[in-house]
Amino acid sequence: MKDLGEFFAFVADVMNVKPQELSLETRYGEFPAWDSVMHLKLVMALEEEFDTEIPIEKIPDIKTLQDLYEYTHK
Amino acid sequence: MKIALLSNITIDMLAENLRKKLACEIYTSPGFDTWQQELLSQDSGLYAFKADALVIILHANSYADSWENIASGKNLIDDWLQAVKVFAANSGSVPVFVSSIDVSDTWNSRAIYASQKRLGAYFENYFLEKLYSLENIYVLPLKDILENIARVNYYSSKIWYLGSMPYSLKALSEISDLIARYVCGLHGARKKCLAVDLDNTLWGGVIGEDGVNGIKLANSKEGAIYQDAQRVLKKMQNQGVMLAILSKNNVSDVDAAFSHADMILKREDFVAEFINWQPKSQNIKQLAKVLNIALDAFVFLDDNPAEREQMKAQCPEVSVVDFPSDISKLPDIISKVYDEYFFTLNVTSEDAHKTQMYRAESKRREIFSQASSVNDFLKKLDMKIDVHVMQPSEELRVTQLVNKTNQFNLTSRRYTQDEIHAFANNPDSEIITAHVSDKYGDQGLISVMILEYSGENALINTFLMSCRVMGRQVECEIMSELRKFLIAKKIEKQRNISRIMGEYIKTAKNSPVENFYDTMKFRLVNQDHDQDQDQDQARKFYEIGISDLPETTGLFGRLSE
Repeated sequence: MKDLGEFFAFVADVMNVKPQELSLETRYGEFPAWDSVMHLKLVMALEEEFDTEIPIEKIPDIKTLQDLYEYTHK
Repeated sequence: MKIALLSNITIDMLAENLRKKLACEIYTSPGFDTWQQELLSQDSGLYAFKADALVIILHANSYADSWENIASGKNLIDDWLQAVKVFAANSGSVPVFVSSIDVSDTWNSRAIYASQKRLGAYFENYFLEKLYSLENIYVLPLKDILENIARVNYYSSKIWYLGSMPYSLKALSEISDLIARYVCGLHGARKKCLAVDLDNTLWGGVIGEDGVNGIKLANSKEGAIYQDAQRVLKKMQNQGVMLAILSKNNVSDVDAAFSHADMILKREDFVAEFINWQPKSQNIKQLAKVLNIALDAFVFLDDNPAEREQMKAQCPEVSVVDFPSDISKLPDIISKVYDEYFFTLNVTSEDAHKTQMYRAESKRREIFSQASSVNDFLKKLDMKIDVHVMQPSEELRVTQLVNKTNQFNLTSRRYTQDEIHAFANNPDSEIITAHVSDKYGDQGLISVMILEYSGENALINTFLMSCRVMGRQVECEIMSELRKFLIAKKIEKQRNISRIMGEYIKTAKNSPVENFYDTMKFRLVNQDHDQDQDQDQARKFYEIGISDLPETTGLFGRLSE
């Protein structure tokens, strides 16, 4: 999964926002919809959608959508 | 509709799901694991919210150690139920939904031994039996969801350890469906009548061609599909769902089919039958007249796609069931039809409400004679507290709390570790920390207060507390400790403080402490109206004389060093 468009569509769906509002620089804590609860939801949804595992100790290191995107092709 | 959602786990995701699903107002309690305090204290946000329904989701594993023996497990359950009963008695007829619990096992196989499994099952049943005996309280069968989707799909250990939310996304979605269904079930069923076809729906084959000995209907193999489907329909009928026959057939053939030895349904189970060669849409309109109910109270079940299309086109008000292409799913589909259209809790009648209110009133005395106040609950927690000046080893934890605490945070000022270090080493400021433990374990460093001294004044620059200990009067105890702390300074002639100044800065998340200083009997001296925001009381200043600070709550023991 390397298609950014699909990735943004996925994130937008989970966050209940429009894909146009998102970029790879979108940042946890700054983007209004991305609070601590959403952070966990994103991780859960991403693991399910892309059949991947994000190690628990790495989850706090995810600060931007770029960081999250990395896990879609691991 | 207003729904209050309480839990001993993080409930935000579930609340969000429900808001979307039901477009209703949802109340969640401030803090973490404060559900019992909310139920017990009539001053709580829960009572002020005036919910139409209360939903309580309980996660047994949060109290893992209590399930190790009969006595402690039963005690825990009895305490839970006591809190629920107090709410039921105080709130009259507000229906309460309490989740069933999963004690039998945990994802980390803590209880893999047979004896512990039996104990788990015992507690689950003990809890259910107690719940069933209570008026106006309904069991929300969460454990059924677990059984349906299997434990491995139900829990998510990662999110549990990170965010105190144990469920997978799949389970969350199923749980919110369940809650929605139950809460909507309060208003009675959405539909009244299920109109069913006969050939290839109640039995396999066509009675007019295959004859009574040729149709598929039996207690094993393929014929059992139809028998099971009939069993589900029979149960629905017992639950008050009206069944009606809409069939293109000869009446004499249908008579023969109903004489089949393996038929579960009898002719008298149906409120009406239209067995003729007219379009079914026409028949259902007739049926609506006969039963004196509207077309939108009907659900239509038919294996023939042409009949379904015709019904949809001619009677769009009627809900048409998607008949399974795999016939083995038929009994299951019919169960789902029940869940979706006919589920009800039978509690809407005015008389039933009156009876319940009457009974609740008489029960109230009984419950209060057992003296179950919030303070009794808190005393049972066996809490211990220690308040002291921050040690250098605590700087990191203090910095973390200062930067992540949102709810119980009066000013929400964020500081780096260097800045925290500077406060601690400046002679005109001081950082005070509080530690709490209870019978379930050590909560650790849970509160931070930054004081700035100026002459006889002490300004509370920062006061925050972890949401895990909210609703336990910890903040009052800290205030009384502050009083002792400052008086000691006076006696030791270190510093002569006579007045404490407090400040509240409103944020999006700290409304739980909006009136904190008022509650602590501080005097409001000044309010700032923030220019940028259209909110009143964006910033409030308070003061209090040192001797007017609260006395000890008497709820805490002291942590020995």
